[in-house]
Amino acid sequence: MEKQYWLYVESYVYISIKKISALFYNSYSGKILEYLDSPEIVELAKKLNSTRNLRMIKVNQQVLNIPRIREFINRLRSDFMGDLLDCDYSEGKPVQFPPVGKIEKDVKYLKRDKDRSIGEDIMEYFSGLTVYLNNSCTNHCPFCSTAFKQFPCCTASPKQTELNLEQFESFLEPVETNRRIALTVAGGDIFAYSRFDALLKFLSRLSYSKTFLIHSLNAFKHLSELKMLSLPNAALDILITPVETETVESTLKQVVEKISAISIPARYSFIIHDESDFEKMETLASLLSIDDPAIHVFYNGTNRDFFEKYIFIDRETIEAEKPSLKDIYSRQVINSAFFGSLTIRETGQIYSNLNRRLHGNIRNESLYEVLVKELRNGQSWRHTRSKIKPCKDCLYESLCPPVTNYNYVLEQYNLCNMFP
Amino acid sequence: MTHPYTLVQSKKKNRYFVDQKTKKITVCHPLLYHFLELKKNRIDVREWISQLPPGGFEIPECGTFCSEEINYYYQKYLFLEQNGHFDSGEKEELSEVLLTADAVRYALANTNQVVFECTDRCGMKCKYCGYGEFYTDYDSRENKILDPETGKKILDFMTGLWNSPSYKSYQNKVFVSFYGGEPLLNFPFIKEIVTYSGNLPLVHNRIRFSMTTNAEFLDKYMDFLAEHDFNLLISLDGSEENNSYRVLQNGKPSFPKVLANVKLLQEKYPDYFKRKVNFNAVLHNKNSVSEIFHFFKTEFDKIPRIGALNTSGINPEHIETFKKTYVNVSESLYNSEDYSLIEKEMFIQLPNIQNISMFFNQCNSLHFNNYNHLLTKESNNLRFPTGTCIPFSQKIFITVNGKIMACERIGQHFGLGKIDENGITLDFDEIANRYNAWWAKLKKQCSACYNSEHCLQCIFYLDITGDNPVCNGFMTPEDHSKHIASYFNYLETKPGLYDEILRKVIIE
Repeated sequence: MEKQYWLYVESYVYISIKKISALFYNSYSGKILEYLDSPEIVELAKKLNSTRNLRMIKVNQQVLNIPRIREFINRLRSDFMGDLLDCDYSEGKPVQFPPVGKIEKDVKYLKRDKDRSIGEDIMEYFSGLTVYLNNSCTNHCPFCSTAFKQFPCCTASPKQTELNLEQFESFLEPVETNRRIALTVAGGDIFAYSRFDALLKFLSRLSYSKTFLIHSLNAFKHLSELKMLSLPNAALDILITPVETETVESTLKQVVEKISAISIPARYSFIIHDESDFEKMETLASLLSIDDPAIHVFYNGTNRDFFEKYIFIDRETIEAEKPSLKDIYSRQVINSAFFGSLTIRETGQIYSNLNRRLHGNIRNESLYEVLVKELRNGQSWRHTRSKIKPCKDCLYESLCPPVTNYNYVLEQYNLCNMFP
Repeated sequence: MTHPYTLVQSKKKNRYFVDQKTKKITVCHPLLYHFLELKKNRIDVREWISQLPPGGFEIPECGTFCSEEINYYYQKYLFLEQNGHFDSGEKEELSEVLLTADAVRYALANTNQVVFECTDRCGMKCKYCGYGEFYTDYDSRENKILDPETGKKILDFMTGLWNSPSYKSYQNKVFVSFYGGEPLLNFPFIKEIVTYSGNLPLVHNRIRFSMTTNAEFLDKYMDFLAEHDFNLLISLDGSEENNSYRVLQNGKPSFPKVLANVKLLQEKYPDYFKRKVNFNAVLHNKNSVSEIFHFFKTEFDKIPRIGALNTSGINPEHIETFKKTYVNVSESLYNSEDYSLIEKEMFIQLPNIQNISMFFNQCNSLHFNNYNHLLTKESNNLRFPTGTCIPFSQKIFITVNGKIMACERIGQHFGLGKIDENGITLDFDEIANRYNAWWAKLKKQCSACYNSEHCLQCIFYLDITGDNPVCNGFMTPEDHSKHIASYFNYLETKPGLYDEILRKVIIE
């Protein structure tokens, strides 16, 4: 009688199938097996990926003699992604537990059950808030009007507006004061906010982590006032544009020394847009003994080549990152870069992401309503590559990092060399 | 950190490695399985291989494996080991996780059900009643009724918590539930509480009503229940013969009256009946899963819930009668001729499907309760010992005597607080301390138990007030291996079940 085998794929392997191509990814080693335009392998992959088959299918010697299949199975085995078990080893089909993601409170289940609400556990999801206090600033930074949509950054506008503090406090009333919320306070020049003292008093009652986002020039301008930011769980994020090293150096030196003297934890974030900026940043960081500076790459509309070189990802990036199965599933259902976060502009307008549609205004929307709205429509928190072209047609859809603000600003989702 | 793993061989002789803590499960080639057995027995696999004769190694019923195969599976063994599959065969001491007063308060603020024991009166005298001769762990039945003012105070108290920043949900439904005795014997209480609930200044949630009833007085009150869209759970054990333990106080069968009432409800409110009415049947030696299933399917086109008799708090004087009366649900199911049909129709209502569903969830590394769990590290998911719920996380139960409890299904001597003319007494610190003290009594057993990671044992079904409670669910490595093997045996015969459970079963 012809020999028969159980062919199976290990439960730590992720399988992606698109049309007539398939990909097998070993979440332990990061190794990827890619089969493009391979109908025979895709047929096998579909059977192996079916939860009804429990990743286990019977194959006979005839199938194993097909060279492409033989080669495929050899590769699976050599990378410990799967194996063949002689059917004679046991008296029936063994089983595997395919890694099938499931969230009991998934919006899709909550939406279809009349007895439940999308608002279940909603407050637990709220974990981050950026608030813009004002838009007034006397500096004239070239990136001012656009950078804040790419990364955490201040922004100013000639049309002066300030946050209504009472409305802001009332908006946060439903949140327990002892929650671990990451609050970022930005401006304009936050020191120019007319209710700054009252705001600090309010913030001192909250156990949130508080980060004050301040341009280095404004920090220099308000050196003596920096001390008032020494609230519990507070930190500073000092934004630096390494224009001419010499001019920045003298002011920044004093800022660094002052912050060090008042012992507030601080991060120094350099905004760069080309390689020369990068070199200046390295020089400046070294001169001022800034360890581990943060880098924000700024897209100015003309530096696409720089982006392609440093921001675009490729297959090697993914293999090196080695996303776990949990990372992959997370990328299928949520956008971990944005999930849980909101932004309130100085006008009171509420966004889940500044590049996406407005959610309302703190004047007339409650926090609960905004959170439910965001979870329901998923425009930011659940904006995944499975919902956008060309990513949804790509084998690497769930392996790639979440959609970022750069995707929105460049109006291109495939900042990659895999689906160019 | 070390943790135990379990090696499982199914009835069909397939081999598996299972680590429930890390949720790693692997079907094993016989050689890999053999290496894992060696490791469990503290034999160095590399050294063992080096001492093999040149002719290879024979595994009975699988054949002889050559050195090339042995080396391949050794490399695979090393690869899996490097990736955290089988750190050690040692059992680690259970992590110290203590319940805090804040956690109890938070659980109460987020509870979705307030259950009132409206009265301890009942028009029936069921042989197996939880407040009857089989049991000892309840307060004496004295024909009492709960005062509506008590209910209102509780609802005011809960409204304060539900409206506080501790409440984590929005537009959620919370249930006010009526329980007994027979709750309809205190209808004035129900009516007043329903009206009062409608006027509560709730900000984040909406109230719904539910009731467990024996249906004896349903004819009188069905208009009210239908009007307020009550979720109604009717206790009925099947046909007249099946239901013969459920008798009226005068000893006469309750069945004719109950059936007539339920039929009347169905006739008068067909849509409500279809949407909101369910049945709960107790299994015993006068019915069977098959009989119960067919009765409700034929009479009402409903799938009933079927529960076994509660086995805790048994009166020693009646233990023999209890044993004769008790029937296990799974055994009764497997003895049914049309077992497959019943299993297909009842599905998640059956304990065997509930158990395997639980096992799948426990073994699925991608199973999460809510979105936040996608963003946390596994190591943060510490759990409290045993399978006991955090107090009030499911419900708050108020007895007719004003005791505040975590559940109506546990002995009434486990009161956690009280409500009386002086108001509500709930000391969250004390509650947390009591739970921690109870858990501490079991810590040694839990640390040695191979099922501790996925324990479902509620401590209130153990003799937890004694000095040395013995856990009924304790598992040695051998017990655990058998326990896990039973799931693999089941899945190997019904491989489609995994997919079906994933698609159909949603845990609230």
